[in-house]
Formats: sequence, C-alpha cells, structure tokens
Amino acid sequence: VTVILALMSGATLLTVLIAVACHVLRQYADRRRARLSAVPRRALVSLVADEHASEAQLDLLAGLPAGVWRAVAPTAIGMLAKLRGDARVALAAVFERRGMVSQALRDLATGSPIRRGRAAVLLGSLARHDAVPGLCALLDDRHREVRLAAVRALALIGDVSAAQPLLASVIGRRPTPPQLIADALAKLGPAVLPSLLDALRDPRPPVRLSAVNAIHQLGATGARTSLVAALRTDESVEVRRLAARALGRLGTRSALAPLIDATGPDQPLPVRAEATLAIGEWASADAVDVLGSLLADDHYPVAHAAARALLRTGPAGLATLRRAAAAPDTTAQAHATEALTLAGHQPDHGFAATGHAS
Amino acid sequence: VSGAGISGILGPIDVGILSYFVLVNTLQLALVCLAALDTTQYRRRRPFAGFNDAYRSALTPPVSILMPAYNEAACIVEAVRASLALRYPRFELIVIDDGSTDGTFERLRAHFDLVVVPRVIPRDVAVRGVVRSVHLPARPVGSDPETLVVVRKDNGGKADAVNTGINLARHPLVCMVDADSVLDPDALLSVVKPFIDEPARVAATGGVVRVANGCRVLAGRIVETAMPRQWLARIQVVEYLRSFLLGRTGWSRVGGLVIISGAFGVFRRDLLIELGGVSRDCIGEDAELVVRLHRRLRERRADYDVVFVAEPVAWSEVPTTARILSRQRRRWHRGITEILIRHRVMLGRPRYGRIGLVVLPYYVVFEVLAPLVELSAVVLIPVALAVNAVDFAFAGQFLLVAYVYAILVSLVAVVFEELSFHRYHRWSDLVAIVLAAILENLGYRQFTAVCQLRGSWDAVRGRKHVWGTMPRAGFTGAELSRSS
Repeated sequence: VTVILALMSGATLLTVLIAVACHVLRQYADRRRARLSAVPRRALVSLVADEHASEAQLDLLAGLPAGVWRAVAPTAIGMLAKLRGDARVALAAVFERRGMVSQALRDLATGSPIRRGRAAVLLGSLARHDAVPGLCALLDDRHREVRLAAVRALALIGDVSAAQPLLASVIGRRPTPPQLIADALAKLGPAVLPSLLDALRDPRPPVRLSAVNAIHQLGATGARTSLVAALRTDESVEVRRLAARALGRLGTRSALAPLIDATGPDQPLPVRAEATLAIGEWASADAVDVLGSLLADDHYPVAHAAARALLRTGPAGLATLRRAAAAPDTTAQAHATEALTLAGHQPDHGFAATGHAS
Repeated sequence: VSGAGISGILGPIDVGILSYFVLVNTLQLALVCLAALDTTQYRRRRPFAGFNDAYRSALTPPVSILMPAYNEAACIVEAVRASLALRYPRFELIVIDDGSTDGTFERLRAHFDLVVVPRVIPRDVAVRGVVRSVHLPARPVGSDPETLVVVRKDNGGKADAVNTGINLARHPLVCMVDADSVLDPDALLSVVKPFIDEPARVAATGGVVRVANGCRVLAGRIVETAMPRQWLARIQVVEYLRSFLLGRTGWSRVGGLVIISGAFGVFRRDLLIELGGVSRDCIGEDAELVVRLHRRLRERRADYDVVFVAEPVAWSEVPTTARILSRQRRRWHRGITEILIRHRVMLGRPRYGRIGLVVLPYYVVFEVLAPLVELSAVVLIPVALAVNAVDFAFAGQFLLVAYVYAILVSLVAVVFEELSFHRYHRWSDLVAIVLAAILENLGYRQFTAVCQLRGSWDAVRGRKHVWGTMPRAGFTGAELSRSS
C-alpha cells in the first residue's frame, strides 16, 4: 500500500505539472498564432477586397512559410465559402499556387479520415470538378463525418454527374440520410431533374424520399405529374406527405384535385395535414369550401392547417374564418379565432386557450 | 459478541469499503479517458462537420425550445433574450409560467409587450395544471410572429409545465432548457446536429451544463469565463467537469447515456408523445424520461442512439450556500433512486442491452450506494481501529490511497479541460481549480453524501414532490457570484 500511495502521489503531482504545462503551452500557442497570422490576415483581406488582385499580393500569400500559412489557413478556407467573383478566383489561385489543391486531391484517398475530410471541404469550397470522382468514392467512406463532408462538397461543386452516386448513397453499405442527399441534389440545379424523376420510380423508399425532397427544394414544375402520381399511389406515407408539400410549392392548378383527395378522412393523418397546408400555399379561392369543412376536423393538425391555409386564400377565406369564429363554441370556432387573431384580424368575441383532443 | 468476533466482521467490511473507493475512482478514470478520446475526435473533425451548412440548410429541422419557469423573476428576461438570440435557422421559444408568484410573468409582459391570444392546444400529452392564457409579443421578435410564446398555467410542477410545452410545440424537435441557463450562441445548432446527421437513429441529445457563477454575462451571453469566488461553487466546477461533462461524454461514447439534464436536452417530439411526456410523479423527471426512452426503444428493438454533445454549452448557476446545495443534492439523489426503483425490471436483463446490464447496475452500485458506503467508512473505520480489527497504518494508508486517487481523477479531468476546451484562461483560475479538486475530498464529499443519503431515504419513503427552486442572483449583474 505504501508503494501504491507513493506512486499515486507522484502521479497526482505529475498531473498538476502537466496541467500547468498545458496552460503555459496553450497561452504561448495562442500568442504565437495571433502574432503569425496578423500580417497574412491583412494580406488576405486586402487580396479579396481589391477589385483586381496583383501578382505581388498573390506571391506574398503563396510564399508564406508553412507555419505562418497554417495560422491563417482556416480563415482563408472560411472566406472561400463566402466569396464570389474575382475575389474568389484570386483566393483560389493562392491555394493552387501553394500546391494545396493537388495535395487535397491526393488526400481524398489518404488513410487519415481527418485529412480526407479536410480535403473534401477545401475541394468543395474551390468547386473543383476534377475532384468529383474522388468525392463520390468518399460517399462510402468508413467515417460518417467524411461521408457527409463529401456530400456537402459535391453540393458545392454542383456537378450533375454526382447525382446518381448521391442517390445510390442513401441505400449503400453505409447509408447517408435522405434529407442530406436531397439538399445536395437540389444544389446541383435543374439539370438534375431527369435523375430525380427516375428516382421517384425507384422501388426503395429512401431513394424516393431523397428525390421528392430535392424536387420540393428545386420547385421543379416539370415534376408535377410524377408528384401527383407519388401523392396518389406511393406506398410510403412520408413520400406522399412530401409530395403534397412539393405540389403546394409548385402551385399548379391541376394539382388541386389530387391534393383535395389527399385530405379525405381515409388518408393517413400526416398526408391530410400536409395536403391541407399545401392547398393554402397557392391561395386558390376554389379551395375555400374544402378548407372550411376541414376546420371542424377531429384531428388537430388538419384543423389547424386548414385555418392557417384559409388565411392565405384572400377575402373568401377570411370570410369563412369569420363565419366559423362567430359560430357557437366548436373546434372550428377555436381554430378560426386563433388564425384570425394571429393574422391581426380580431374576431368579434373574446377568447381563451382551448384544448383539442388529438 | 466478543471483541474477536467484531474484529472478524469489521476487518473485511473495512477492506471492502476501501476497495470500493478504489473501484469507483478507477471507473470514473475510465470514463474520463473515454471522454478524452471521444472529444479529441470530435474536435479534430469539427472543421469538416458542416455546422455552417446546417445553419444555412432549409432542411435543418425547426426546434421548439421549452422553458418552464416557476418564480424565476430574477433571470427570466435575460434567459429569454439569450434564447431568442441563438444562432439557429428556425425555432420557437415557449416559456411556460407554472403559476409563479414572484412576478415572473409580469416581467416578461413588461419587457416583451405581451398580449393575450387565443390558442388551440392539442392534448397530445396529459397535463394537470389548467392553461389560463397564451401570450405573444405585440411586436413579433422574429420573422415568425410565434417565435416567442408565453403560457400561463396553474401550478402543476416542472414536469407538468414541460408537458404543456410539448402540447404547444409546433416543431418536430423539442429542446428543454432551464430558465436559469444561458446558452452559448451555437449551442442549439450543436445539440441538433446529431439529428441532422443521423435523423433516423438519434432519439435524443444532451448538451453539457457548466457553472455560470463567476462568469461575466452581458445581454444574455457569457462574455468572460472565470472561476467563481466561493469555494463551494469552485468545487462544483470540478465536479461538473469530471462527472457531468466527461462522465456523460464517456457514457455516451459506449452508448450508455441515461442522464440528459433538463437544463439542456433535445428530444424528438413524436417520441415524447409516444412516451406520454415527462413523468409528473418522479422528481428526476429529466433522467427518468431518458431511461424510459431507452426502455421503450429497447423493447421495440429499435436501432437508436442517445448522444451527448460536449461543446458548446449551457451555463447555469450553482448553489453557493450549504443549505441550498443540500436541498439540490437531496433532490437529485432522490430522483436517481426513484428512477432505479421504477425501472428495476431493466436491471440485469439482456433485453435492455448495455443499459440494463451495465449502466443501471453501475448507477445502483456506484451512485445510489456510494453515499452509504462513504458514510459507513466514516463510522466503521474508526470503530474498527478502536477494536483493532484493522491495522492503523494500513487503514490510514489505504484511506489516503482512496482520496489521493479521487484527487488524481479530478486532476486528470482538469488536464483534459486545459487540453481541449480551455474555458478558463487566467492563472488564478487554474490554481483555484486545482485546489478545488483537492478540497472536494475534505468535507464536501462527505457533506453531499449525507444529503444524497437523505434523498434516497425520501425516495424510499415516497415523500411529496415540490418544484426544486433555487434563489437566483440573476444574469444582469457583472458577475454572477459577485452580484449574489
């Protein structure tokens, strides 16, 4: 026990010394980083602020010693994502001249997940199309953070050839969440639509989820027929719900009938609520009667969505809400009163918090 | 019973107690090391984790922040202002005034110009206290007029207030925060990030809570971190660091996180509704909710995860008097005991995986029983020495080993804080935190052990629950500890 006590005491003392050493080193490192980055940071700001970057400015940043560049590199990479036009081209040239682009392309296949992830961020920020194959390979990376960094990088590059690998990654060995893939697909632009329409017919629900979500973000009117078909017949409730939402955003008149059908009592509750909101999205007076009847729905999400939707349908919707609000105490009255008050239209009576069984 | 007989009994008991101390500290050290591993990875990968993308993405899920409040007049306005200033693309803040009598609501009404509005409240979760009124600011505080919602209800307890908030929540994720907490600007984005990265798997996330005493708060933001001036609060800084930050990170690393602080946790609303909301008859309602979540999802054989996020953080005031600390620890330990009694069916059952086989048994042996063993040592070791059941030198050295080991574990946590988070910059802070790690073992642990034992006794006796309020200094002062 004496020996153990001596060892333990020694370890405790050593731990205190390590804590002190860490504190000293941290303070030294912070001061050094601040000192080293002061000049190059000014040079960076000057480079991106000037309308036409001079060779001297580029040479200054490209010739910085590695230690100095390391202190300012995170700022430079952060700037890349926010810049557009000549400033971005100039900053990209700095990375190119420092050999960081070719290094990053090599790092995509390196053994270190940290280097792979950082390479993906840099190449994405630089929108390097030659990195697309390497980044697509990372969609199956062992490390989740690297896979997600690759998804974001592909979205930034915006190369439509990444659409199929992105869609495939939602059902791969190491699947990526459909929402994230949808976000990336939407950022590839309208050219991705044919791939998305194909994906809507895929037998695997995660692929269809990604596609319908991406279509919603794109607001692609060319997808209307496919969305209506998805809303009517898809076996996944979530796909149907998202199809309703996407149709609401598209706002084409011919989608009204299928959306009204989707609010029927025989439909799943999430689909009914989303379809109700979608109808309200494009302020069609034709939908007022349907929305008025949904105000009295037994299910809170549907009745609530109907009230909010009616607010958007102009004078006819407001009149319906006012009639409902003036009616005897019912579910419809409560929802109508809430919606009118929120929109700044005072109902003709007092109000209070009301319950609604869900 | 003869002297020899007493010696024969006390000797092994004392050795057992001392061995128990060593084992507790070894397990804590293991958790700290696991946390170090996890946090190092997290920090190295953070540059490509895509936080800015999450902030800009249209698909980042909107969040309903629930802030139950009971007699929080001192800090409620600052807490609401801080929450409204969070860096997150879309959220609503629902403040639930649970029948406060100290003017909590009046302060909110005056500051945010609240007006009463009608609201249909779904009854997804059963509540006891009647909702009296719902209020919105006359001038919206965000792009959405319902960014801030204040609800007044009859007093029904914290759990009832949270359940009312769950009913009112419009968004798929629900974040629970305490009215006396100050969140870092990116805190919400960080705790929601796991839901974005793995939406199908993540059921809940917990954020770390640190000690706000001594820190400078400006406009609802921590602008300068510093150690508190009171030693009681300083010791709690070490305790929070070791047990709450690193301990929970360690448990999260092995998929065994069962405590998410009510001061900062995010849950899927659909799961909360499925569970029937927060339990109203358990004093540790936040931890009970997580254990119940594990239980339900394990019974359903779901593939899920409960994640702890070590940074950024929520800051909360800690007690600065022995009386308040005693009340708090009694309440906490009562909560843990109640949870373990309520979910005893999970103990040792393979069906509940590592939660039933490892985590809950750990809590029984090394949390609930710990104060009993600690206080037994205080009584039995002197008795054993008096009857010569153990050798004086051996007992003294063994006791020293146990306490030095405990100090070592705390200091390892301090080193890790220096290496990774480095929240305290001043030399005086480092000296204070090292001394606090030593002082913790000289009276503080024994004092809290007494409080904890009383808490467990309360649980066994089933005494009536009350809101766990703590007098607040408020966040408006320059430094929390100095203004209190």
